[in-house]
Amino acid sequence: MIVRALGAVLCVGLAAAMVGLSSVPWPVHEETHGLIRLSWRMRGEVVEACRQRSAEELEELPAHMRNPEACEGRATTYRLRVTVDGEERSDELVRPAGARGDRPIYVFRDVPVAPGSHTVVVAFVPVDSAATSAPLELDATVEVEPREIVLITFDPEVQGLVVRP
Amino acid sequence: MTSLLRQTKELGWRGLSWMDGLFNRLYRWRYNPLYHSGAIAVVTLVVLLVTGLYLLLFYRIGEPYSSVAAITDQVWAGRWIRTLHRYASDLAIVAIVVHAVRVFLQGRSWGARALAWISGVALLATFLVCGWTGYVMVWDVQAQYLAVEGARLLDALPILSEPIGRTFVGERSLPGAFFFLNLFLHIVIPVGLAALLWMHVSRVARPALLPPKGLGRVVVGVLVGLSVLAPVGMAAPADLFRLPESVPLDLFYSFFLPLSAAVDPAWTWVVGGALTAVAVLAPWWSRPGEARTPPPSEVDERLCTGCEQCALDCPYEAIRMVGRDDGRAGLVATVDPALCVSCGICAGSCAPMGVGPAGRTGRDQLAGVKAFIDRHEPGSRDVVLVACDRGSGGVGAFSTFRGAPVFPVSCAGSLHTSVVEYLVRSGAGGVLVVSCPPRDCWNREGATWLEQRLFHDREAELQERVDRRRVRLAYASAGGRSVVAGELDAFQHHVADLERAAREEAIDLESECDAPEGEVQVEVQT
Repeated sequence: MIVRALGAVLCVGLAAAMVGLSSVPWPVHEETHGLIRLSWRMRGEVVEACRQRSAEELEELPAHMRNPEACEGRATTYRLRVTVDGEERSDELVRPAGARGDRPIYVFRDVPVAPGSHTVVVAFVPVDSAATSAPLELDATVEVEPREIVLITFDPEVQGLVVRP
Repeated sequence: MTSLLRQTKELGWRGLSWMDGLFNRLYRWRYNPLYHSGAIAVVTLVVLLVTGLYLLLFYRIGEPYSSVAAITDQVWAGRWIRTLHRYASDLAIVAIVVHAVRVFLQGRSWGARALAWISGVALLATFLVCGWTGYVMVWDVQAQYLAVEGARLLDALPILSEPIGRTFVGERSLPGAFFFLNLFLHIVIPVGLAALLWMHVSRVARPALLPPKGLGRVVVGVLVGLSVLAPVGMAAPADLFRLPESVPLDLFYSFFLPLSAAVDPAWTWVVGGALTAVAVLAPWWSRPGEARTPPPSEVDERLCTGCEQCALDCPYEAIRMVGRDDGRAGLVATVDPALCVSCGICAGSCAPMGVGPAGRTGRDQLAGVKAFIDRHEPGSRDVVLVACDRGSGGVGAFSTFRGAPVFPVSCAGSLHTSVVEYLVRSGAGGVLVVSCPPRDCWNREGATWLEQRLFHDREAELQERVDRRRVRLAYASAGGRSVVAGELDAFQHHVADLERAAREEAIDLESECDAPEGEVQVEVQT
């Protein structure tokens, strides 16, 4: 009888342990955590350099490929700089995606900040001197609540960076 | 294998033996859940399938959180069935890990069992992935934490050009395709589980997929009871513009999250990859050296009669019957060394003693027991202990135990019944064979076949001429030395009673009747 009771107690104990471990309240973020998230997708500028082919070069090409003008394009690399309250938080090059660099540009960065009011300056500038597109820039004051994520993203309607929410 | 690893394994084995002994005392060996850990995992899979089908009727991929909330609060028995689904999934992980630890510590992870081990690791990984998709389906804060961290880990790999983490930015609501894909994976993965389970048991004969009925009922009953007494509720819904303050983590599935979230994802991949590699490659690094690897069984074709018993008894289907090429009619047994684990059970199955690992055939055992008798000279009041090396409370390592001489065997299933007969006919008062409990047999069916050979005429059966009162079979795990002591005590008393009864039977009553009047003579023949 005692053995059975002990067996039952062990069974109940193990079951209770399993239930407990099935839902452990795990603290993840404190009130002092906030986040500024930069996330956007855009087609980077493609800079082309064109030249005229010489007669000898044209002679070497098959007849159906003798285009007198030869153009080589490359997708532009951008430089992302982020400062928060005057402090530089990110300064990096962002390349087009894909093995050949011919995919869109994706920006996805998290900048942890404390809750409160912050001056955020974001500059997304093409580094290629031949690029003609305007850089994306944002200079805004954002209010970050405790544990809030403030999103900075590209709005195609305004063709610029915006803050959400 | 280094000596450190061997020592660690030995320590682990001692701990496991202690637990086996404790559980055997509390629940008896027949219902010890540690012996049925693999089968319990299968029971949980069945529970998951049944409860999952019910939940699927009410889940909506367009409204994941609210549909799960409706299941919890409005659907008939929804809260309990959802909880049952969850606790069954947790128990599955526990059962699989216990099963893996047992198998590893018992040295059953290499050689012919390598496929079972590797498929078992894959089963565990598949269960984890299925669980993750299940939690993401709810789309509460735990799901958000899992999904965001999972995306962070995947984005560290140079696979996709677009960061998966952008899916969870919140700029747009999550596409229905995400939840559809998640649900699809959650349903399709169990199909993969079934395939892996088939592979897991493909190299064993008569796999025991389910536990004894009583234990199965208790497992399901405990899960149902827990679901009723401790139903799960709803955590806060996912909010992609909020960092969660606290997440109710299911540590059976989300155990890695607090660790991986704190470090660079590359470290998570390196450590996770290393641990996975260690687990998958265990059949190679845990393999004992050549000197300690027992040889596979061999067949002596001159003695083989083609009765097929060894092929029938082999727990690993390592023996086939093929046509003879020596001019004799009938079949002959042949052993596939790639499948043979050298358990020796075939040696115990062969009446003509024509098969077995070198040094452990029936003939080798007879030679051994002859030397044993010469050494110990057991008398009519002595009980001889035949003890399995693996279990039997560890008494197989002793030459005597509580005054009883010990004849060790590598596996009780390899014991040839002629050895028992020889011991009895040589004058031993009794033979107590101690084996591992049937579901704890390191070679799966050794204890079962032994019992049938001793008492139920299974080939190679103990001959009828042997007094069954002088033969007893007991079961004891490695940690069950007190059980062996108790069985030995009881059997020794039984043998003493037999001897007393035999002496009383031998009293010459006629001499009493023939005595002159007034004088009684009693002649006792001993």
